[in-house]
Amino acid sequence: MTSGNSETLKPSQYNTFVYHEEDQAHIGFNSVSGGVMVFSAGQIEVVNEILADPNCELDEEREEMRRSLLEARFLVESRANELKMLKVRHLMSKQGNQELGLVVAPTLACNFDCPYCYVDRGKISMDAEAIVRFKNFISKKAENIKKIRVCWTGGEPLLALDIIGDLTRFMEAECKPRNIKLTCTMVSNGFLLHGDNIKKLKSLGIHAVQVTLDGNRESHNRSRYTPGGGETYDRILENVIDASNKGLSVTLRSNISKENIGGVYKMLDELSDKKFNADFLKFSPSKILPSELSGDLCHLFNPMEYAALEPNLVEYALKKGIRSNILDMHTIAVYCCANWMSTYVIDPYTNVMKCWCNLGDCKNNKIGALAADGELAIDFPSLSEWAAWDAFDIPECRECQVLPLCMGGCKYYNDTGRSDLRGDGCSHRKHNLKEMLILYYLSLTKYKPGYSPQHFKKK
Amino acid sequence: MKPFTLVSPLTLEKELSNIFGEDIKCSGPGEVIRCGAPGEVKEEDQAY
Repeated sequence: MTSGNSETLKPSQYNTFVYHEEDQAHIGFNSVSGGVMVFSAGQIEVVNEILADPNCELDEEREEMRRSLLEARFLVESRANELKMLKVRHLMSKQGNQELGLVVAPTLACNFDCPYCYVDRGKISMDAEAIVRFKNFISKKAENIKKIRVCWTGGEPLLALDIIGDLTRFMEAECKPRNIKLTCTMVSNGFLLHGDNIKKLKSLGIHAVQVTLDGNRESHNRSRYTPGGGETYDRILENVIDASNKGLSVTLRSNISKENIGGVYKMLDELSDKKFNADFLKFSPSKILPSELSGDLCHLFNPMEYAALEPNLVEYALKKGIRSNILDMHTIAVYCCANWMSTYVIDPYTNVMKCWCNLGDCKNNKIGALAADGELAIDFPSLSEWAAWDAFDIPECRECQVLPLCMGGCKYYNDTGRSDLRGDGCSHRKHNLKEMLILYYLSLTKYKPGYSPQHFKKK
Repeated sequence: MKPFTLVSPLTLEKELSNIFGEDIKCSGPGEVIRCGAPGEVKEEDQAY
């Protein structure tokens, strides 16, 4: 049988199937297409028949199933080398230059004194000359791009809201006449995310903010405090709830360690008792990367340990009415800003780097700097260290079913992670894909407001 | 006999139009940056 033009077919090497017993649902996922399909018991028999012999003769009813599998890329043409196709997607995206991605720290000053912070904190903020360099850079880039994506960070960016306002208004003025799309987000510690600032952020088009709560009051206050040890938990919790209710998307990050995991569950309990807008607040548990920046390494989970606990934690949140953005199993072309050629991390001096983690030592890790006229003067040897890194050079990645979801993961972690805490060095998703796929399914069905099980009563 | 599509796939046709068309990055399910580095934030809630 054929794909419609005499091509023979084969199963994709990126298919995953799991069974959810309670719903008697067979869930199929293809990590290249990101498609999720749900099959009944009768349908999965046909699917298995087709995958075992993709080119067999079928009646019209089963032919329809084969077409569905082909469209969702559970089946591919026999001559297709999926790895090469992934690599083309990756390279084209990596080298694309129509979108400018920026991670900008307008200040390195911070109102917190977290012991694990990797940023080279100081009172330095962008001065008038740095602001001019940045604006000139934007003006040059705006000549031939279609989108600018900015994430404000720091330091604490809300301490530099006047600079952010100035730069955002400038970018808007450059983008609008050229029909360039501008999207802005922010990473903040949330302490100053009060009503007035929420209003300001929304007026500046900043539609999403990531804020961290490292567990409940006890565990959070142990790791995220003001200089002098002032507590921050209650105020941040109140602020993120207020932000969600005012329509500002909040990614609620929790850095997970052996020390605070119990507190994270308690924080979810407390949050679920509050009145927040679930459409604008998403839980984002995150494994702390075991680099030299991680502080006391003995409290960290290795990828295998984290893979085992993550489904339980995310399901606990779902049951409490708190959704998680880590369940969105999107296929990706490139892992992060460090891998995209046209994405830059910019510090208050307008040094340019490739990785957020380099904000810890900007001067020794920069790949370039902005000149007065806005030109980006590239340090080619330094840039090459980042740009040449490619997951397709790693034998384990080339064989991995999870490659379309992680694209090799974090280069910084791969470079600096301590070997005894890295496990096999892979994304923990490789070790819990099936469990997380079931939760992904549940988040879109049973745990989705307004869901009706009648969806699956159809043939 | 059609399965229930819970998440629409990035079809080959769509991917080709993205990769070789005007918008060089994959859109829809493909328009994602995911990063385990401290501080990465998603651009859109269902995506980056």
